[in-house]
Amino acid sequence: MNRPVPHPTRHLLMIVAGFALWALAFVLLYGTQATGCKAGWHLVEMGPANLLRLVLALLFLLHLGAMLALVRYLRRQVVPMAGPVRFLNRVALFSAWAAIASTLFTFVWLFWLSPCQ
Amino acid sequence: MASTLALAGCGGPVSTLDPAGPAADAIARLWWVMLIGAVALFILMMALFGLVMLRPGAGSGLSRRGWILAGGLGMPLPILTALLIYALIQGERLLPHPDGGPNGGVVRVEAVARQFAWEFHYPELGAGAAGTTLNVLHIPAGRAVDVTTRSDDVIHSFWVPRLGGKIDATPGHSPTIRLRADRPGLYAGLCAEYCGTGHRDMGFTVEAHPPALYEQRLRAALAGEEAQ
Ligand SMILES: [Cu+2]
Repeated sequence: MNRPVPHPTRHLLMIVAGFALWALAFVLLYGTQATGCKAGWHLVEMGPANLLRLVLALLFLLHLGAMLALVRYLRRQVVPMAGPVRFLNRVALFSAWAAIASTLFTFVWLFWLSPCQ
Repeated sequence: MASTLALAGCGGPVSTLDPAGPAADAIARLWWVMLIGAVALFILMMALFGLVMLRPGAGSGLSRRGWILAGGLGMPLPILTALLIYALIQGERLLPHPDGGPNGGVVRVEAVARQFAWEFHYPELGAGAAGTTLNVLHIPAGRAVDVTTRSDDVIHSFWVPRLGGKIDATPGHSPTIRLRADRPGLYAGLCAEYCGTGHRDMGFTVEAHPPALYEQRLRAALAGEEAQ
């Protein structure tokens, strides 16, 4: 566990990392939904769901996974016991958890709502 | 007198607060729920504000952290979650699902927008009636009607406030909205997306007929348009 302490700027950037992933998920899900509807993916049955829902679910889970990895990374980061870097790390960690909560709250409906129509 | 004045804005031919069908009804109900909720919250906030003004230290029973958690998460999250789920269920129910509405089959019509008029097509009407009606949409009352919009030029928006929400008429797209008029009558419609200098006058009328008379009246209207 003897990793070098990253430059403070990186800690600052980590504060927006979680919600940047949320924004990316938003754009990709929205774009995929519209494209999939136009292309008729929702008409391709795949077991209990359809191709469009499956692709959307995959995108959703990918982003959720990336956010959990971010949390893991932030928790493992070696930071001083006190001072601004520790503060930035804490804020980044809370932001990442907030982004995960937002992701669930905003996108979990894609498993249920009609994607097209 | 004051209440009469206050409520005067809630009537009229283009009032969303005077719904005449299930889609508009759902929107109006959600609006009332949100208004009542907002008023209740406002009163609560003002009461708390008044309390700490009149009796400094009145809220000190709860820690600072407690206030932040209760006011910042504890109160808004359940309210927003309930509103979201309610709206999603309501929205899902109003979608033009292919299985149709109650009362059997869905009637399909097309609304074609152009600067600055609405042309209505009735693709389901049998042979020999390929005509259209200008600025008047004929529908049967009590049945679900799927209105598919199209545009020949710019973006317009089809809106009959007493029957339901808006749906854009965008070139290259043909989205559908499901409306139903519970009773026969005239319902005012308008273009709800600014589309040019004639936008203001781009209104239309929805005429809901008794179901038994619908086809006969529609054919008469089409014949009338042809004669003009
Ligand atoms: Cu218009």
